[in-house]
Amino acid sequence: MSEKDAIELSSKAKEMALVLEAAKSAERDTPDYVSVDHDKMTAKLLRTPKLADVPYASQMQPHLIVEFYSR
Amino acid sequence: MSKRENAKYKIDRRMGESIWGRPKSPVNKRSYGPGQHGQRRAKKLSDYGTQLQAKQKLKGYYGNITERQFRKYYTEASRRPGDTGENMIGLLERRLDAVVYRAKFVPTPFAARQLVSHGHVKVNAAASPSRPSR
Repeated sequence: MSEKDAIELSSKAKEMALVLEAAKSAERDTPDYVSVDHDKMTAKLLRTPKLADVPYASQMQPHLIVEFYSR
Repeated sequence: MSKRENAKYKIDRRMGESIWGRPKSPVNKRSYGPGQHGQRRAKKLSDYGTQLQAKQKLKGYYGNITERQFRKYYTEASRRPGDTGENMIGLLERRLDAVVYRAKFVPTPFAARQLVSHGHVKVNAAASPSRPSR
C-alpha cells in the first residue's frame, strides 16, 4: 500500500451485513493516518504511522522484536 | 496461500490479555493460558522469553502472517534508515488487510484478510488484488 492508493470495497462487499455493522460499531476508532468515508466505503492511507499512532489494544514492544531477531 | 492453523483467539489467552480489545475475547472468561498446563503457576520469563513473547504478540495481531513473511518485514525494516522497530510497525500497517481493518470495514484482522483475498477490495478503482500483504 502506498499513500496514493485509493481503496474501495466492491459493490457486493458494500452490502455485506458484516461490513455495515463494523462501520457502525463503536468498538474501535479509525486512526488519523487513515481517511475513511463509510458512506462511499472508500479509504486512503494518509501516511506511514509510527508506533505511537497505531491504536493497538495492548502494548507492543518492537524494540524487543528487534533484539529477538538480531541475536 | 497459508491456512490458519490455530484457534483465532488462543493468542489472547497465551498473552493473558485481549490483544485486539474485543469484548468476545476468551480471556474474559478464562484468564489463564491455553492447554493442559495453562492453569499452572506462570514461570518467570527469561530475556529470550520476553523477546519471543513480544514477537509472537505482534505477529499474532495481524492475524495470519507467517514467520517467514514477518521476518522479511524485519529485514526490510533494518535495511531502511531510522529506527528498525518504528520502520517495522510502518511496514506492517501498510499492508492492505491492515488498512482495511483500520478503516473499520471489518470487525477483525481475520475478516479483513478474507475480504481482501476474496477480491472484495479494489485499489485505485481498477483491479482488486487478492494479496492481503499488498
